[in-house]
Amino acid sequence: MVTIAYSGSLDGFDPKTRKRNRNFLCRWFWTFNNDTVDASTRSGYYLIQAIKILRDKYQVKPNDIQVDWWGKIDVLNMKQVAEENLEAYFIYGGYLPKQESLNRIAKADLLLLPLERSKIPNRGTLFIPGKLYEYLNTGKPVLALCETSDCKTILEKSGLGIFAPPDNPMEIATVLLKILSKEMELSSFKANKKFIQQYSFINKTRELADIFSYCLSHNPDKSDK
Amino acid sequence: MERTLSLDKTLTPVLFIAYQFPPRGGPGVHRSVNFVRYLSQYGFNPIVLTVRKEDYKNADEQTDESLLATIPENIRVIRTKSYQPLTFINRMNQLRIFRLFWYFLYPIFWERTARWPFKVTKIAEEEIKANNIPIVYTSSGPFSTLFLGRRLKRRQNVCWVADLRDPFTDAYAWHFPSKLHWLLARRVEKRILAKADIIIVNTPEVKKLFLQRGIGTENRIQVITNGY
Repeated sequence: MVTIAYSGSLDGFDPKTRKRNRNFLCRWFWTFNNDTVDASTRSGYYLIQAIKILRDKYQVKPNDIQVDWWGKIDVLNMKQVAEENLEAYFIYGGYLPKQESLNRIAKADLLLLPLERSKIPNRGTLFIPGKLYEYLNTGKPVLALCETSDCKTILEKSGLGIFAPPDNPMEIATVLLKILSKEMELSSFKANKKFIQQYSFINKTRELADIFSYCLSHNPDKSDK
Repeated sequence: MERTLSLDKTLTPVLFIAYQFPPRGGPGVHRSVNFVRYLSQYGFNPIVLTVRKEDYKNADEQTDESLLATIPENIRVIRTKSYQPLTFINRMNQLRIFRLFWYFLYPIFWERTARWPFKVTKIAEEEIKANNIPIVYTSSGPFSTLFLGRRLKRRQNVCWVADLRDPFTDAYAWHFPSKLHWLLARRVEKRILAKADIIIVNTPEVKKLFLQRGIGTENRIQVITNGY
């Protein structure tokens, strides 16, 4: 059996409630957010669809694959799972303390990383989820549902990335099927430890300390304080 | 409320302003807590300015007590009231009129934490003077901490390093009362960040965007990604 884990905040998505085009007055004088990403891709929607495809088309059973997710999981995901009768494939949990969360990640075979798709041409998403680094530290393969972005680059270099488009359930299902059929061996993913090491917080703190030192050396009056 | 401390006088003190700090849980605290944990290894002594433990609980924010154990014993942590007008906001929400305040008094209600920087300025200034602190580091969000960084830089002549754990007006997650408010916030954001000695962002893509927006120069904007 393959266990896929996800820890953190996960949005929900319901295509029926996709935002309608707003008129001029609403756009300028009503609640506004800088709508630069396709937020649906930061949800569990497409993964749930993919699991449905695996069940319906390829007769994959709950004892073949389990999705274990915890944290701030939007109820829309749970609703979608219930509507599709996929409850047996999913395990939910609420917010866990950091160490408990890391222990649970350590038990998984594959780690899930859905990433929002940028709507701005020639610009990737601005975000790299903090959990990416926790994932890298485990040395386990990461199923990233993402397009070209800083996050994808890091995963490629780490040697742990398995990629699928963020909004294509069929392709996500195909990747999962390859894993289930052992066509893609999870044990064949070898972490590039030297590369991953640079993301330890000890090293990141050194970068911060270098910035502090730079500030002081360029403001000698302040370093004499 | 403070932890006990024994400051190593050979280390350079840094006022480390992090509104989100353990026992608050969630994704926003790990960067700060890990920086605080290791900074002394590189010659800096962080003095943390943050919020009282009980105020996180009162504001219904996630807490993770186990994170407190990761803060070294000798780190000084100054905890203040959060000054969130929770009772007022809840009352106005019950009456369904909070939006009016948010819309027409945006500079006051733009963030629940908007009052904190102004209320704790005095404490921060006293700390800077008492310990001859040459550097102030602010971790945002909440983005109101940027106001505190700018104030301290102006009034105490310190270096100000502004760390943005996420972008503000460029992010899709934040809501504004209207597009006009967003444009206003964008101008203010640019003007405030222009005062920082160094702006730290956590992805190369944000740096590219800030350079395009003219928020800073190649040297003034630095990338430090998150870590583990």
